[in-house]
Amino acid sequence: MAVQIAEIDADVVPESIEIRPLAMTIGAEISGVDLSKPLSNQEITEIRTAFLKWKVVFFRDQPLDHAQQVAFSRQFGACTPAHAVYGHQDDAFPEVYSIDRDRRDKRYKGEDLRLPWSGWHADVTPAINPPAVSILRGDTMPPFGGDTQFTDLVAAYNALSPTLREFVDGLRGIHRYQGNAAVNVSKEYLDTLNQNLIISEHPLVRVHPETGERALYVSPSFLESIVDLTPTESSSLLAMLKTHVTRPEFTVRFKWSNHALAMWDNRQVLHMGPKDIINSQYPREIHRTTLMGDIPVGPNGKKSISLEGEAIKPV
Amino acid sequence: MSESSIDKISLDVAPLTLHIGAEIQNVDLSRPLSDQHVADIKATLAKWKVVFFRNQFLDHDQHVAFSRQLGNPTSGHPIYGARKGYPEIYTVSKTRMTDRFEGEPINHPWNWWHTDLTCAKNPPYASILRADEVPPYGGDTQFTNLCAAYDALSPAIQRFVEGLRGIHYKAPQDGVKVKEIYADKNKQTRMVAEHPLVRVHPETAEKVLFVSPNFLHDIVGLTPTETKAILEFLKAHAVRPEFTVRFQWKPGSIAIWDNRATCHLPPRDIYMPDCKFERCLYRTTLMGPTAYGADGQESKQLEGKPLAAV
Repeated sequence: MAVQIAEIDADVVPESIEIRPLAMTIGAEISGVDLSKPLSNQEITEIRTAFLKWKVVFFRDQPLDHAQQVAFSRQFGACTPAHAVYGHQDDAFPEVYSIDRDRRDKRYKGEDLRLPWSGWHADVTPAINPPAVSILRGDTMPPFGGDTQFTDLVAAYNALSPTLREFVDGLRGIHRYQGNAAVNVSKEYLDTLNQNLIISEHPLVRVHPETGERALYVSPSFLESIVDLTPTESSSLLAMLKTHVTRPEFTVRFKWSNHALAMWDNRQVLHMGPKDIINSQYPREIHRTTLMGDIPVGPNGKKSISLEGEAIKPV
Repeated sequence: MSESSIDKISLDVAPLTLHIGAEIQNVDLSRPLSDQHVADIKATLAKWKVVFFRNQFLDHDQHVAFSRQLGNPTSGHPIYGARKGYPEIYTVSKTRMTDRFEGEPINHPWNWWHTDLTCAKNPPYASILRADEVPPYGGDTQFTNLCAAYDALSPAIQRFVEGLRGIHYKAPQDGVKVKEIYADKNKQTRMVAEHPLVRVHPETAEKVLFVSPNFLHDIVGLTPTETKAILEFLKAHAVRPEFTVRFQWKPGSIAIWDNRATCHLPPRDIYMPDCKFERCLYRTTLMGPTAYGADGQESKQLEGKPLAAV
C-alpha cells in the first residue's frame, strides 16, 4: 500500500486523459480515453490518481458490454462476486450485478421509513472487507430523472470539530445487512437477508489504505449501532453523524446518459440510488462490478471484525 | 462541627425513591438545631439530593435562621432581587415570570428544568424552599439526580463528556421571546459561566452530569450542529423519569435540594387556564463553592459577577 501512495502524485497534470472536476472536493468527469480497449499503464495510473483525488469519476459515451466492463474492471483490481447477498443474474458473468429499477417494491410493503439519510450507503459495508471500488455502467438510461448522488466521507470527517473527531476516532460501528431498519420489509426480502446474514464491526473512522486520509465511515443503510454506547446514546449520535455525512456541501450529483460509467472509491464515498424513477415509464438498465477491498483499519490501527457471514472472495 | 455517619443518623429518614428524595421526620426547624441534627441533615441531603420536611410553619425570620445553620445565605436573587426587609429571601410567586415573555415555547422534554443559578461560577450549595400558600392539588415540584444521570451513561460517553465544558446563561425557552421592556434589564444583569460538563460533588466526590437545561446552551469546542445534537441528548437524558422524584406541597412543607447535583422542574400545571389557585413559596439559597471538573479545572465567570453572601 505504501508503494501506491508514493506512486501517486495528485498534482501531476495528466497527459493521457482529461479531467473536469464537478464539485469542490468530490466528482470529476474523465474524457479522452476509450474504456472498451486495454488501457496503457499511463492511462491506468492517471485514472487511479484522479479516482483517489476526486473519489468518484465519471466517463461518458463508453458503450461496453458485460465482457468489456469486466475486462475494464480487472485492470484496477480483482473482481468480487456480483453481489454478496443477492448473487448474480447471468451465469456467464458472475462478476456483474444488474440493478432492478423497481427493486424497492419487491422488498417493502407500503411505505418504508424515510429519514434524511435513507438510501445513502457504501456498498456491502456489512462485509469485513467491503469492495474498494464500485463500477456502475448505464446502458439505457431515462432521458431525465434517475440521478445518482455521492458524498465525500473525508470532507465529512474534516468538517467535524476536533473535539468530536477525537471522540469518533476511538469508536466502532456495527454494520448489518438489513433493509431500512426493517420497517415494512416483505417476508421474502427478510428471508433473503436472514439466509445471507452479514454483520461486521468497523472503525467509525477509517484510514484510507492508499491516501492515509481519515474517512467518517458511516454507511447509513447498514450502520445500526455504536459499540459501547447505550442504545439511546447510539441512536442520538448516529442521527447526528448520518445527517452530517449527507450534507449537500460534501456531495456531487451525476446525471446519467446512455453508456455513461461511474467508478467510485467505496472506502471514502457514499452513494444514493435514485427514488424518482421507481415505477416511471422509462427503463433504466444499469450494471455493476465491484473490486476486492481490504479489511478497514481505524486511526488506532485496530482492524474490523467479522461478526456474521463470510468475507468476500474474488471471482 | 459534628461528624455524621449516614448509616447512624440522629433523624428519622424515609426515602421516597431509589435514587433521590427523602422525608426527614420528627425534627422542629423553628428552633435552633443541635450540631448533630445539622450535620445529619447535611449528610442526608448529600446522600438523597433533596430532603423534605412537613408541618414546619416558619416565618421569614425562622426561615433565615434555619438557613444560616446550614450555610451562608446568598442575596435573595441576583437578578430578580429580594423580599423587602429580608435580603436573603426570594419570593416564588405564581405570577413572577408570567408577563416577561411572549410566544409559545417548543415543548422539549427538558423545558423549564434547571439547577438554580448555574450562570454563576459558584451556584448555590442548596436551595431551601418553604411553602406558604399552595394549591390543594397541582403545583408539584420535580427533582432529578444528576449523579444517577451520569452513572447511567455508557463509559464511552462518560469519558467524552468529562472532557467537555458547557456555557451557562439564562435564556427563554425555545421559541419564546423576552418582552422588549425586560431586554435591557436582562442585559444589565447578564451572567455567563463556563462549567465542566461533569462536576465533582465536593462532599461525596460523586461525578455529576452538570446539565442545567434552562441555562446550558453551548459546549466549548463543538460546532453548533454537534452541540445541538449532544445537548438534546444530554438534556433528555438528565430528566429521565427514573432519576426523579415528585413532591406534593402542603402548607408547612419545606424542600431543601442539593443544588450541586440536581435539577428541578417548577410546576407548569398551575398556569393552565382553569387553575384558579394561588401559589406562593419563599426561597433562600446558600453559598456554594466554585464548581470543578474531574480534572480539577474550576468553573469560570465569563460575564457578570459570581454570587455573594449577604
